Amino acid sequence: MRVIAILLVIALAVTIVGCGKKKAEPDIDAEREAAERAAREAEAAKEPKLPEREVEPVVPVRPEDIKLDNIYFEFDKYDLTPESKMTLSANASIMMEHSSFSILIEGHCDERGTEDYNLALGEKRALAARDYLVGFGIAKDRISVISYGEEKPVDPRHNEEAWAKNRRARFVVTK
Amino acid sequence: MNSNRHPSSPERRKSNRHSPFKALCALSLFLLVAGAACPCLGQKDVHLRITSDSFSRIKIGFAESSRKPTGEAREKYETYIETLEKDLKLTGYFEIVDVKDGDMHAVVESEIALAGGDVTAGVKLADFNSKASVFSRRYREPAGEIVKLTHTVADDIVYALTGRHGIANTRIAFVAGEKGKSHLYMVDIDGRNLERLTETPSIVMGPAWSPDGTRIAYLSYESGVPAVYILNVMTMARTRFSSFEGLNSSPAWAPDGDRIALTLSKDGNPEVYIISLDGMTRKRLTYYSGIDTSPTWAPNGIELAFTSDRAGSPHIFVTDVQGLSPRRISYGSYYNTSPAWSPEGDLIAYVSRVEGRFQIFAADPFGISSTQLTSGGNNEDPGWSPDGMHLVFCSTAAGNSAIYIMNRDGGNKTKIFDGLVGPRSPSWATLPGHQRTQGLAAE
Repeated sequence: MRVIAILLVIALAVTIVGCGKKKAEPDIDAEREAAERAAREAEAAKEPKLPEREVEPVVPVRPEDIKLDNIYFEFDKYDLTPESKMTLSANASIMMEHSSFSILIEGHCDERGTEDYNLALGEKRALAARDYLVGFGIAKDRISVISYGEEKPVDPRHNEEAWAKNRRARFVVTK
Repeated sequence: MNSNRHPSSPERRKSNRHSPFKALCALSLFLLVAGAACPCLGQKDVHLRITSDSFSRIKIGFAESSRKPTGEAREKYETYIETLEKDLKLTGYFEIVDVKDGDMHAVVESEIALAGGDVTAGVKLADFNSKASVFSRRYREPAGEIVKLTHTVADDIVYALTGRHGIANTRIAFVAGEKGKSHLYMVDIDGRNLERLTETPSIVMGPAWSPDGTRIAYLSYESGVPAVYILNVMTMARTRFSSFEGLNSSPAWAPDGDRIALTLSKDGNPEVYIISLDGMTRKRLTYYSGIDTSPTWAPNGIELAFTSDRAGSPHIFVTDVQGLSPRRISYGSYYNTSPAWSPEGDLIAYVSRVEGRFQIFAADPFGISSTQLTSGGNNEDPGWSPDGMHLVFCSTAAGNSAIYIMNRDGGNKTKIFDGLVGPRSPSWATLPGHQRTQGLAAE
């Protein structure tokens, strides 16, 4: 984490300087100053945490502490909505952050339609979510999928509101 | 519901699509009187045959034998008549009339007696007008099995008068129970002998009988993931047939009983495969990046129908066993699933979403015409009777989900089971030992 933070700060500094370059003459001093400041800040950010580590041992993150949001689908559809893609992108970041965990993606449908077809539809929903995550560079072997079709509704009511909630892919962190 | 709608009631609606399909003649019932006398009984061989989809019912009356049964035999006789009437009505072919009315096609005269621990029946079936005998047979069963005896009589009458095998000795496998906690069951067509076939509640789906009626292939999540199992209902022996990574679903037995078509997603997508019963050969049938599922076999064993969303939404397609040149056969709705190919080969039943509800349709295998067979409530999971003259399905027409049967033209809808919780996914088979190859069952 800390290394990433340092890199981010440096990258930010370089970017700021880089942008400045286009407008004005290169200011080597300012650039160096910025780099030094970034390094100092990074160092400063690092220092106070060192003693903390001795006092408070880092608690290992448990699978149940990681929450990945559901994504939702239109009736009889398995393509990802723009909203689903944003959720998946956030889920991908979390998975990158916690690279030791694997996930199970459950594909679900609403109660309407044929059970048998809904089983395949749920599978496609889970697979669509998996493929999108893999596109971010998440290893395929960290993701398994299962379809429950219409067998596990989160809302048992028989109306549009319930159906919309039930047409989902759910992400379960497994280990 | 238990309605007795006439096959040509308004609910029988055709799709809007241009169609050469015509309702066949209302009655095509003819009497074949073969000249040859039966050498043993000295009677004429008579057949009444139904040769079309739509028909008027055969009027049949029950005449009591001149030797009236008394005491316990009387009770057996009453059970016999009640069962026979129910069995014949269930086929949709018959109208039971009072013999005193004198207007009927055929008459059955039955003599029930007790002999030792057995019950016997002497049954004479005759053409009413000519008085020509159709058959005269004796039946014998243990005294407690009068219903079983009657089912055999009913099937013999149906066969003799229609050339069809009858449905009195058949049963239904189905799923019931709350979602996620369901079981596999079977029950005789008359509602007797209900039996639970699975041990622990799980997600159970899509039972499919083997053609000989001894085994059921079905999907269960009992191991945590979907797998297809085969249960032999004679021995209750069970094997796990297919448990590839991902989806294993929608098993369908080939007519030869040696292969099962099913859906697997092991190659990254739900696709239809054919696997031999011994598991030795496996053939992938479909290649499409969306959904391909729910295979059903043509009776010739060389074609299959399945559901695919390759046309943008679920539709029914037909292909050969090589998976070559799939053709679409559903057109009326954008949502079409659950194909079931009739044992006669001429129709594919399927479910369409119409005005927000799910209804059963039947189309020819080229998709030239289709006919709506249900209306009211949701009607799903169509499956054929072994003789191809009836369909079993799941309906909410009367409120809660129940299992119904109807004639292949949508007539004579009859509720056959509404027990347990949400009975669904029925599959229909002849009881082992009652498969009729030709002629009447041996006496």
